[in-house]
Amino acid sequence: MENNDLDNSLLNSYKAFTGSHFLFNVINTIQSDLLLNRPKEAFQTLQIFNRLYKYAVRCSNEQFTPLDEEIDFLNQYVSMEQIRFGNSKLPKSISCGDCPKDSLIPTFVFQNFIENSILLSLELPKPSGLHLTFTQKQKGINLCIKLPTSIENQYHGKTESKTKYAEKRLALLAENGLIDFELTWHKNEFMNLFINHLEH
Amino acid sequence: MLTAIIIDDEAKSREGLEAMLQNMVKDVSVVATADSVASGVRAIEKNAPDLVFLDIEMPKRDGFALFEAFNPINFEVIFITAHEQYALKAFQTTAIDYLLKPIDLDLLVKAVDKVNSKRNLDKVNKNFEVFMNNQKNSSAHQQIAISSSDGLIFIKIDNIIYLRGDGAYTYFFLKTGERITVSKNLKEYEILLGEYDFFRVHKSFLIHMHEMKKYVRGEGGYVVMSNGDSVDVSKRRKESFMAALSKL
Repeated sequence: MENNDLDNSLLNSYKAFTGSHFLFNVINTIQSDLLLNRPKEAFQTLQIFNRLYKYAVRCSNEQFTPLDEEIDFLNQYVSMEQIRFGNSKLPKSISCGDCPKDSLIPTFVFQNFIENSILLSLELPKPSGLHLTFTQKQKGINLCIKLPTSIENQYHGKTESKTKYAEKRLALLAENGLIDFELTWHKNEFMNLFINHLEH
Repeated sequence: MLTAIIIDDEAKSREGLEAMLQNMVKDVSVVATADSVASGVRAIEKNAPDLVFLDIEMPKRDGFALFEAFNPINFEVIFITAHEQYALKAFQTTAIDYLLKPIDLDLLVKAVDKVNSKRNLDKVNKNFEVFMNNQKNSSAHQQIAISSSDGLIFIKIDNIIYLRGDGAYTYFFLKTGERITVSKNLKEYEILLGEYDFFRVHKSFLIHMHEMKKYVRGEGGYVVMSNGDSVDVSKRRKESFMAALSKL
């Protein structure tokens, strides 16, 4: 029963990422570039889309994935959002920081939080930006997402729906003794997510 | 030629749709684009377009918020979104169509044709309405023509008990017990029916003076109409209402 719940939570996270709205928006972006006679940009979007989907399909049965692979995936994802929104406020690249590259982290969880923060960053007045930092903390991995505080109140209305799959998945993984985690919201660092994969 | 505005937070989506409309769809010209509801409102106020292509999921305020800024809405709306789940809500607004991204050219052409057809029909109805209303003095059975969603309805003036206004809409209460809703404000009918012994007793009510049963005094008082409905008289209009009563 517990394993079924975990599998379902992974499946929900996978579906949330590969859902129709993301697919439709990407195809629309490619269609726009072709209409505007920009084949190189269309090709680039298609390449990123290929990488994202291949990774998502490959990891759709994996509860955990190495940090460096997930970060590659996150970088591709952010690139896709930059293409769609043409927004310079999004991070140029995300790195492992001082974290061991082979640290195991729950698949798709960080993507869900980053997707939400990207949507929020689009609401910010220029030149505010989105800052993502991975750091090692004790034996675990800590992701800090910083946004200016002015939108903090608006954020909470949205977080419940936009990150619900990730939050549920974290809770299930913890219940099953697979991780320790701590999710906190601060006024200035509006989100801190600490995850420690428990070795067995 | 229809004039159109595109409101979408994704630059590529705006550019792609504009290219499709300019190069592949007849009779439509994009006069402005906007990346949010707020800038869309400004663009609409400036350009008074015939048609707005409206994305739904946008930062800060979603596409539905656009409707809060306009009353009445004098343009047609086609929603364009990658989210299927908004279709029902979209059609509960005044939207004429709902297109799912990526945009299918055939469906886009059909949606624009639908806008053209509706606007042509509205024009014919409007002309006919004006014609009918101009004929009213020569008619033995005086009647007015009002536009409804599917054509024109002819109402004998003697059949009207009173009208109630609610923003951009007016409700006709008839002797037959029918209630007809029209998307015009009460002021227009006050002008049209003023010479037929109709009187504006309240900002929300225009009554047929021959259909009053009783006037009950009070601060403004109220009138009981022939169908039993009570209609308030505003304090501000009481004096002129009394003057009108004395002329009956």
